[in-house]
Amino acid sequence: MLFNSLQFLVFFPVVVFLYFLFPHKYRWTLLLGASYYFYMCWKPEYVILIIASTLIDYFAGQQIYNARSKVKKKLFLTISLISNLGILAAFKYFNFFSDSVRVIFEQFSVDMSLPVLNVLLPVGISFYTFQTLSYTLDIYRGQIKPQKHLGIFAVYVSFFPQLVAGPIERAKNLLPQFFEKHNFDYYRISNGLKLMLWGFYKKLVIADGVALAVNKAFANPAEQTGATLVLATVLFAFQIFCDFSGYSDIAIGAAQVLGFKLMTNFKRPYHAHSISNFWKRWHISLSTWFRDYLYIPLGGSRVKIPRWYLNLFIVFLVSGLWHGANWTFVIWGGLHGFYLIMSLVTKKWREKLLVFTRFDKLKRIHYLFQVVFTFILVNIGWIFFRANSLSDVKIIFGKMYEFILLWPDLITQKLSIREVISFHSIQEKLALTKIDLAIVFGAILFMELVHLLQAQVGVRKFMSSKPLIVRWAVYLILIWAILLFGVFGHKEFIYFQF
Amino acid sequence: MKKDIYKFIRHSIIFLVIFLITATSYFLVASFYSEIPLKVGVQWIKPFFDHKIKLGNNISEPKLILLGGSSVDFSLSATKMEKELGIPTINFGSTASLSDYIFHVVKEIAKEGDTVFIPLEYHYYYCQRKGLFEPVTLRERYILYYDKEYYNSLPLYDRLAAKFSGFRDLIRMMDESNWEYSEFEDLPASLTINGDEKNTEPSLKPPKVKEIDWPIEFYSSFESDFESGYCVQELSSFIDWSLENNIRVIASYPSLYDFKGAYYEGRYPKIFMLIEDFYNKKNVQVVGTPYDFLYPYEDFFNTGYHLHSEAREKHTDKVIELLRDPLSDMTEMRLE
Repeated sequence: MLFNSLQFLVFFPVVVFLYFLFPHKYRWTLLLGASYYFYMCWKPEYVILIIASTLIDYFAGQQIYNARSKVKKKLFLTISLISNLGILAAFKYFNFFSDSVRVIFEQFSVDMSLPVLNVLLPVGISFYTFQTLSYTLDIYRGQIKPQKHLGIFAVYVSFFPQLVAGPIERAKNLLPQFFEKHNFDYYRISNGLKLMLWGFYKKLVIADGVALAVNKAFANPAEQTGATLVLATVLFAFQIFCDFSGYSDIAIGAAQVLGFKLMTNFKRPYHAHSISNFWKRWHISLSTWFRDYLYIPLGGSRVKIPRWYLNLFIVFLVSGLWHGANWTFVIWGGLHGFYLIMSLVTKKWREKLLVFTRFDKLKRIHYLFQVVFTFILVNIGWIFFRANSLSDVKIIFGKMYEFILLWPDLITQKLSIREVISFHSIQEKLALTKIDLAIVFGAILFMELVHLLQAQVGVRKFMSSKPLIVRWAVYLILIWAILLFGVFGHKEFIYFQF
Repeated sequence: MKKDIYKFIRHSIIFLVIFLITATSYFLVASFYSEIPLKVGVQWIKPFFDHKIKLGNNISEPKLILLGGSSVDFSLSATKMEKELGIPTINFGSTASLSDYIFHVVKEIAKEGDTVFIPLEYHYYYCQRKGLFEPVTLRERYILYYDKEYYNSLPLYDRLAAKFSGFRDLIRMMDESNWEYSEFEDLPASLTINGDEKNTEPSLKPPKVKEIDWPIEFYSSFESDFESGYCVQELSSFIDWSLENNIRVIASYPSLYDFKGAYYEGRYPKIFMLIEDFYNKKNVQVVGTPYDFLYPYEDFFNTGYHLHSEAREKHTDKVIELLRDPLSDMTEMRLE
């Protein structure tokens, strides 16, 4: 079931109503039923995978905890890891690996035809697999005790607000909340609903508003110009942020209505002043997952410098692969790993350069420069992320390079800006009219203003200081902005595919 | 807790009332102004349909009607088919994207004993009923402006959806107010007496062939939603109506740009099977396969569905060969 569907508009109020009607003791049954129904609306048979994951990790968790010897603990942990990652590998990576093997053998003129699995990728499989894995890993590390109540554990694995696109929760944060009695709290519920509204705004007005243009640009980059590809890449940066953070906002808001506090997943990532800062703000639940369960076990930064860099690189390569079974994702991950390593390698030189140029005295300008530069680096990464193939990436960079070569002529006014990019070319190449552009950029500007407000005083604090009539007018305007400028139809969230 | 519940209910009701007041005001304004944007961009469709209906009704019966969207309009030659098959043929392909509405319009010319040949473009299999907040398409604009009778026969939801979005789109269409579609002004004159497009010679090919490189994108749940899809249901009803009126339906596939071999992989073969199964279930004969009608880039005029006149001849020859046998009864009848 999609959050942005009429079905959810009926489903959610019904679940909330019943949730507060049910006695606390039996609420888990409602949440479990609702969560399975939510998932089964997409492809009923795939619920078996969630049930399998639940049962494996429930029993593995018990066995790991009760095992007396380290060997036994390891054995059950291995069973959990192999089962979960095995399911993930079969559904998500099998074809990628078999295709890659085939291509490698082709280089040596060996015809290696490996079988291809013609199955649909189960929605959200990477999210719930990582969530259940963290549970068994935490038990193995002695950080949590296993959950005795199978039903509540099943709700933890399948909790519908965050089931298909996160945030990837940890057992120690989410599991205890199923035992807490959540009363009907006006402020908590209204805050949850407001957060959901904000998520819908981001998804329907911005993300879906630019989706057509971005799809058009990346479907056939050879038909585009360098300028339209630059514009499409920037639009994609906002599309993916609004799509994914919009989903997170709706998920966190929906959970909040029911009384649950999910972890923050995004903190204004495009305000990041470095790549490492970007990863503290983007998909926080995944980056902290990789930090805790991959980077630290690899030795983290407490190893020799080359090994540290290798650890960072491995984590980002795996993160890229987590996002999708395609080399473009792997390279995207690798590129971010490279950015981080380069920032560490060049740190001292950059600091010296800063002092030498006295740029360090101009803190605000320096910060702004850092934010813009980070945004550019992130956008270069998005090209790999969004492109359909590596050959498309080559075309895109080629066109962008041609565009950059025009800049000297633009600066010296040998060439007018209209000759490089015009509304006509945007309309022709990206199917965006002047009005569309005004709506999209207006919506992005409004979002960024809200982000600035959030960074300065906090949106809730700011809003609560205003009279009721002003607050309601803002909510009403937001609803009408969604109804009038939102894109409605069969639009899935991008992160579902991961 | 009770206090909170009462407060929440009270505030929800007040907020809902305020919202409904704004919504009612919107609909009131919309019902006055919704026709303004609806007219934009659809003026040319009216003479186009009127002309094709006139041509269809002037032709002797029983006849062969080529029904579909712009692919039929551009890529099939009714003139050649009439000559080769010896059956009066009308090209009833429509350049306007009117989705299921074409099944309604064709009823004006389809008579007992006729055969309707439907090599529908693939978007006819996934077009959905317009949601309340979705933008109006040419279909809604045309129906609201030119076919009030059909509009009034639609369910209330569809009528509200058209009105709501019609006004909403006024904002987005402000910079399109100079849409004149001047190239279509002489449309009736650009058609042959069999309804074929005249001016599609390769030498007239527009400088940029738009959207030609797009492989068709079927949304992810297309397969599971297929049979319940709005247009498929409408197509199904049209087939039932045809059979009830002794009109034969023969299905096939459209001419399509062979995009980097994409249609041989992934979901496409299964989707094509799904379409064939649908026709089989409806007892509609299907001729050819989608792969019979894939053509190289050079063969297209201005989109990945529209063949230019030379390629049209080649495509029509293929279709004639495929139809010769199923239509032999009509040919014999005419010879008698």
